[in-house]
Amino acid sequence: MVSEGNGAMIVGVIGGSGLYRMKGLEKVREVRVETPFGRPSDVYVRGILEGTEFVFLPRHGRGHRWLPTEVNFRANIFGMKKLGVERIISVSAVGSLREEIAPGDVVIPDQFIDRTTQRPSTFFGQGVVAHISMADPFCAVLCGGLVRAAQATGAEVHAKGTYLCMEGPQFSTRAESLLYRRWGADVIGMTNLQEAKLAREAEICFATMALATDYDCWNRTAGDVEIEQVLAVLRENVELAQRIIRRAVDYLPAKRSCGCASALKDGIITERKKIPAKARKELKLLIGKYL
Amino acid sequence: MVSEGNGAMIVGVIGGSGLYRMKGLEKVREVRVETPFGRPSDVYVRGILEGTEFVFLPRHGRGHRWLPTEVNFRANIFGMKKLGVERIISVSAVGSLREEIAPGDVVIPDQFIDRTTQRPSTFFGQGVVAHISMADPFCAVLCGGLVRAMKRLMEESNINLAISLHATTDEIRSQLMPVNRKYPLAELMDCCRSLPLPKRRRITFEYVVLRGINHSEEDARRLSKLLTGIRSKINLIPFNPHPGSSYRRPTAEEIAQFQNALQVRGHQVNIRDPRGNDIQAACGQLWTESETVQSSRSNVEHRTLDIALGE
Repeated sequence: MVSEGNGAMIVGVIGGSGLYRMKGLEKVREVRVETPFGRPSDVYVRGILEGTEFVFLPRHGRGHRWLPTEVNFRANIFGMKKLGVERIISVSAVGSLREEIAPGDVVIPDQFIDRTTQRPSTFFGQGVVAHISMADPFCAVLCGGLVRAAQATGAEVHAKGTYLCMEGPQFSTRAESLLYRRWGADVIGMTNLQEAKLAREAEICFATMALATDYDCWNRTAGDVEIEQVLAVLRENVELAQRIIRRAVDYLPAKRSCGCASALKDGIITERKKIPAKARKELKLLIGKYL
Repeated sequence: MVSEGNGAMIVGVIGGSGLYRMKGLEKVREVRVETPFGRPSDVYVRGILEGTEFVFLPRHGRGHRWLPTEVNFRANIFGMKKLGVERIISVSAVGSLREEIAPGDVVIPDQFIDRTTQRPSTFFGQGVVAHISMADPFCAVLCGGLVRAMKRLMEESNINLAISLHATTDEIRSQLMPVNRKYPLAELMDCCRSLPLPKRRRITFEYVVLRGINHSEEDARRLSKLLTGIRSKINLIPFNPHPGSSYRRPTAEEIAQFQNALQVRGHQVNIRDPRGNDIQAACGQLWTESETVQSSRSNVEHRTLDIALGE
């Protein structure tokens, strides 16, 4: 299965529970994708919105069935690649680690700190070794588009920030929350890091639109994070997220000129003739052009 | 399999190698439990101790067979739940990261930092997603119970008790140590007074000296009064200044003055100079410039063994 797009921009959106598709989406089709890494979290929903092709995927599956630890990030991103997606906007609920980031605010992070422990985070291995840079883990162009779009909607926007990705599913302890603040982290979530790493390996531009839902538990005056509060703030912000995504497209060039499109260029270090046939075949979509 | 208790409290104890059961345990039975998460570390040992039902489990199995990484934590806790346990006391050997927590001391922690990497840590998944708060990871009531139990422990063992005092008024102490709101000074000191302290043993009071805050002549007078009737010694710990903290370290002269003011009132007073001061690496200094006052307060709180005594 390859992209059915007309060669123009296809934007992937990985959303939380409230964002399976968008109002006004036309020619909506559900697409089931198989990957060498198993099944994605759910079927992809494709459609056209104001002339741009979108592909939606609910990260936790419809009905919220997968724990952060269980989400098949590799299949999700590989599936996006298979569908011709070149840019992914990842929408994510996060806890705020800063007083100035209030619940309801939008954060477009520019950095990550990894505190996950139980997740495969690469497409490589099994005979192909590749190392790519994660120095700047997000696509600056896509982030810029999101920031401008978010500002245009009148939302409270933080144009950068460090996203700490924890394993979960329990929320952090107070000692951890205070520690992360000392490390300089600004928001905390459980999902986006693997998506960013894998998107970079797949040479897909990636940006996160983080919606602050709570103050985690460091802020004694605000009370500790509970799931009800997270869901309530999310429900209120689904429409805002949709408006930002819709507008972001206007700020993006049709053709990519950022480094994301060639992120893997010098990354594969395995001697080409030593790469096993199976890996060659399974990863063709990612590495074919470099072999 | 359900609880065989009479509906009253059942206390679970997860112990290291030395704690499979307890002296005086009656009606001892071994119970094998199966769980959806596999087998617990070993059979559970049930019994009655002075009217209370206890369930023991050796964390690493008898003979210490499981690595920390291998312990089936989910099965262990699920098994406790299956046996009707509502409270678990987990006994654990730990290394001290603080000078003032000496080998042999008892610590009832109130927070965690997770640095494990290979352990399933939830019962959920496989179709059920749940997120719970771990902001306060320990049961405050159960921790309090442990603190009270230490009164009795004083009679039966030879632990040394160290108490973080840091202030002579409730106002200042509550600022430095939120636990003071729950166990104010008067209560804490009453409790210390009532402890059956073995012969030749003293209670150590840790006292971080903060410039201009807690080392006046008045403080010395109040501290002396607070310690009336308690066999005690005082450790003065000059505060380690660090970026982001509003607290400052008193001069050597000021500390000596405070020490003297206590000594003339008949107290044994040591000054504990924190090490590593010259490389900014003494207690609680390994952090970045962005620290806030709030966190530095909690550091004062965490830097010493906080045993809040009292009912």
